[in-house]
Amino acid sequence: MAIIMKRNRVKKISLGFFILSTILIGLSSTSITAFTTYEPALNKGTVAFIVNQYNEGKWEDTVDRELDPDDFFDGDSDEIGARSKTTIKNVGNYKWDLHDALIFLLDVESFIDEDKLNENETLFLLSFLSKDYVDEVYPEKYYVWEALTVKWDFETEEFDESPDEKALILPIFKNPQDYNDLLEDYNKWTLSVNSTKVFLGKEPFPILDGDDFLWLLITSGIFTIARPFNSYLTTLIDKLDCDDAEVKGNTLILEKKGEEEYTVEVTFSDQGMQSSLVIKNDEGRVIYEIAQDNTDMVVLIVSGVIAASVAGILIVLIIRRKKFRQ
Amino acid sequence: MSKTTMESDKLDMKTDKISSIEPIEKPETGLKTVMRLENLTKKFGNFVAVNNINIEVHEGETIGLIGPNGAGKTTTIKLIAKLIRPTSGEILVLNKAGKLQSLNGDDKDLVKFGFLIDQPFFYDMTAYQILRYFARSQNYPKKKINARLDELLKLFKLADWKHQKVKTFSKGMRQKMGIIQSILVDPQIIILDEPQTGLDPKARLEIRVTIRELQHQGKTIFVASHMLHEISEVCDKIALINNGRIIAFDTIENLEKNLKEKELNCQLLYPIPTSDIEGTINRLNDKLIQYVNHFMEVSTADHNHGVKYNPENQTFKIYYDGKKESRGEILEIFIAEFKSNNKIISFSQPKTSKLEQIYLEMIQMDEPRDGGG
Amino acid sequence: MAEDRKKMQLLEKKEKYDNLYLAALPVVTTYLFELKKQWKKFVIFSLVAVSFVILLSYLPYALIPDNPLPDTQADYFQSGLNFLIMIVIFGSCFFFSGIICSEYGDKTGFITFPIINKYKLVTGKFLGALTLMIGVVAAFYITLGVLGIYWYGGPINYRYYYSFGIAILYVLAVGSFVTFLSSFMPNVNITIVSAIMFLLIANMIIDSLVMLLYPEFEPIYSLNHATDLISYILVEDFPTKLEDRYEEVEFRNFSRRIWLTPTIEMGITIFLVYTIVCLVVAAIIFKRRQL
Ligand SMILES: Nc1ncnc2c1ncn2[C@@H]1O[C@H](COP(=O)(O)OP(=O)(O)OP(=O)(O)O)[C@@H](O)[C@H]1O
Ligand SMILES: [Mg+2]
Repeated sequence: MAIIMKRNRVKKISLGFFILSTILIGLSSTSITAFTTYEPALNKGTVAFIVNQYNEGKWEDTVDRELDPDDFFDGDSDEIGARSKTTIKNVGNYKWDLHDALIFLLDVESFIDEDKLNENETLFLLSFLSKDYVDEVYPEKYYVWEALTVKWDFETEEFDESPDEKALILPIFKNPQDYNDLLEDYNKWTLSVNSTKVFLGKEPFPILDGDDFLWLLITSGIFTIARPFNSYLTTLIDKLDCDDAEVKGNTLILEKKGEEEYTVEVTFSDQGMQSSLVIKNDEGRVIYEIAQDNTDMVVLIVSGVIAASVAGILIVLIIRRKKFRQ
Repeated sequence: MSKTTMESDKLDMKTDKISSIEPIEKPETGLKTVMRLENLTKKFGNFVAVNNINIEVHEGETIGLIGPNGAGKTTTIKLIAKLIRPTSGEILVLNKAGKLQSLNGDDKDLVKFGFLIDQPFFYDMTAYQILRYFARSQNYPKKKINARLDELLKLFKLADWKHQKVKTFSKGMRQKMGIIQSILVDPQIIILDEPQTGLDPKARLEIRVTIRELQHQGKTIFVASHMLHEISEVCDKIALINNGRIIAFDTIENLEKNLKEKELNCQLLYPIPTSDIEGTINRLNDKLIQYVNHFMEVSTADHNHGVKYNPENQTFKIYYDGKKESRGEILEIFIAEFKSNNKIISFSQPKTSKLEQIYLEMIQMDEPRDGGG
Repeated sequence: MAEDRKKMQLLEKKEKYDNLYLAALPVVTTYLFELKKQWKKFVIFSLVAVSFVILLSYLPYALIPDNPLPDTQADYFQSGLNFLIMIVIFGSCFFFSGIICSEYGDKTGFITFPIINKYKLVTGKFLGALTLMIGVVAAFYITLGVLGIYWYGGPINYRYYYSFGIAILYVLAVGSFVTFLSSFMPNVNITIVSAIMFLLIANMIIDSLVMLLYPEFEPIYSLNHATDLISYILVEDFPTKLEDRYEEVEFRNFSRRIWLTPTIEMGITIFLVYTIVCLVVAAIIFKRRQL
């Protein structure tokens, strides 16, 4: 009897496992089907970054006399030890169009210098940015994976409880070639805007080449790539036709010229996010560095190891005591 | 020779000693009272389960509380264990200062009790864990617990089961656990409620051996049972309880003597016709009314039970007051009664009166419970 | 002379301590025994608690990419803690139901060991069950906390510890309530069923009746209302004003209040009052209850 019952139980358990695994497989297969050969590597969770090095004098001599790192990377990114963090809330399939890119990726609104324009001119410019207008003229759609995130900007103190940006969207273009189409559309759009008389005698919107565009992507803070990274990056700089960019593994190396020549090395983490950014002068000395901050992960792993070993010791003790009794 | 056989040999020696029933020398204690039940009464609603009991227990004594099922033994013991509250009356127990103290008060100064009540149930744990827990709760020295447990478990042949769950135990094994538990922490007064139920003959013997040992250690023991012969030989005194009342409380010898002396057997030649039995008995009872035994301390108060007739051997049993004169008168009455149609072939005092029989008869003689619930 | 007196005093002190030790010993041993006795139940319930957390606060986020994580760790904890109530109710029913009634129903504890004072026995059992139940709750909190670090990074929001403290009070209140039921119910199973019936269903019915009859009245008698504090305390700016603690809902011209949380003081008071009342009544019934 007992044996039969046991068998029944085994059967039931294995049936349960079977059902569970079917569900799991089903869920994971329906999740995100690859559009191209690329796959998103981004997972939910929190990533933190830290400013490791900043040589202010060298920055001014080499990169930019006017602009500080915080003009590129937000918050207190001009202070060593400042941390930022991003929590990725979910990842889904979406379609982007030029309008999304203008607003979220290129932040064109920041090009509009309201000090130099009057109210009417501003409104007129903004009308070029309206979704209806852009969609009508540039109807092309781009397939993306989109991650919804919240972000805490660089901060030297403890983070506030609520994030600085409550709905930051990270797009991962499923096809890196789309960036090039986007760039072309942007330049077309810019030309059409610049050709209006608003900009007569004033600084027009910039026409971008591949290298400029790449730099814009990188400083946007939301540029994220898909797996396999190396091929993604290579395709990207290929299509954008960048002259000053080079790919080494997961790292993108940009040659730039500010006050003097310098290089920017952007490394992508295994999630496809920019995990580190190093600016070096032509002597190879580091002027500025942002890196991923893994202390939380270390804490988690260490506590996990401790918990596991405690549990292990307990189990061993119990088993030994039982054996000892028999 | 292996260890176990040696041990069983030892045990056999012990049992031999016991079966020869050597009288135990009682320590001269000056008869210090360790427990007194005073007018103890317990009612369940209208039903009187324990009726005005008075018992005094002296140090070192072994008292047997004997009565049939439902007599009130367990109820009495539960009262002593404070598991239920008496309706009236009191229980006084010796405290450490050597004085009697009511059980109702603070019990931390009282001498230690050990209890086995009813059929013990235990938590779903191993024998060892349960007994250890109990010993520790009573501040039994930590270092000695294991030795003590092993000793007792071995004594009751439970050593092999000590790490088994008590739930899997047989009734008898649980009973043994109960007994072990009751003597585990060396209590002064040990109260056992039917310690032998569910046990095989060998285990019963072991319990008697254990009780003997405890007596030698000077413990006071209070054993309830409905099996008189099981414990009579180890008891100093016996309290017979029926329908909640004590109908006799004395040493076995006294009980035996009293009963033997107060009993007459009268055998007839021919059986009495069945239709006449009741009339004859009633007539005899009426005539014998003045000689009938008012049973020891407790009056049966029912004259109808002074004479009994056993149709199988045509014998009358007469319980009388034990006086010599009465015997003659009773004989005359019987001769007169059966002069015409029957003959008396023997008229004698029983040579032996088996305790078990006494017990049975006493209970039969006792009136039914009053104030039925 | 002086030394003698000192010695005497020391002896007296020692005796006092010894007496205290002897008085506490049955409680302590029963407590330890209860831990041993319910150990398996503890492991099972801890596993249930852990899997509950994983099932409800990990898998939905891990398996469904679209399903968004809450914004912050505190929000995450807040949503995760909603399921704690179930664990506490079911766990407490199983841990506390036997405390008094099993002594009568199964004739185990003080009938087998009448020389262990029955109040000490029950106190030890209660403390044991309480410890284990707090352990189960701790397993829940630890798992959720680790997941919180996993998703959001450390450190753990300090209000999470407050929440744990309040959850302990809740365990105390529910445990006391089940003990109270246990004091007059005939056996463990009936105790469990009636406790669950009351804590889950009756409570809800009473609450909605009161809401219908007195739409403005804050249910300060209700354990359910107090439990809202366990998760609501994680809200960053805890509402201090009365009107922030409820939402007005219109339904067919009938407006009623849906209460979000009691104040901290009120919640703690509700738990403590439940605990004290239930334990006192249980003690009285236990004293009077006979075999
Ligand atoms: N809780 C109770 N409520 C009502 N009546 C009870 C209760 N406990 C015992 N009784 C009654 O009291 C009487 C005495 O019971 P008790 O258990 O003392 O008998 P006992 O002498 O131990 O019998 P046994 O030899 O069968 O163990 C019985 O008739 C029983 O029905
Ligand atoms: Mg009985």
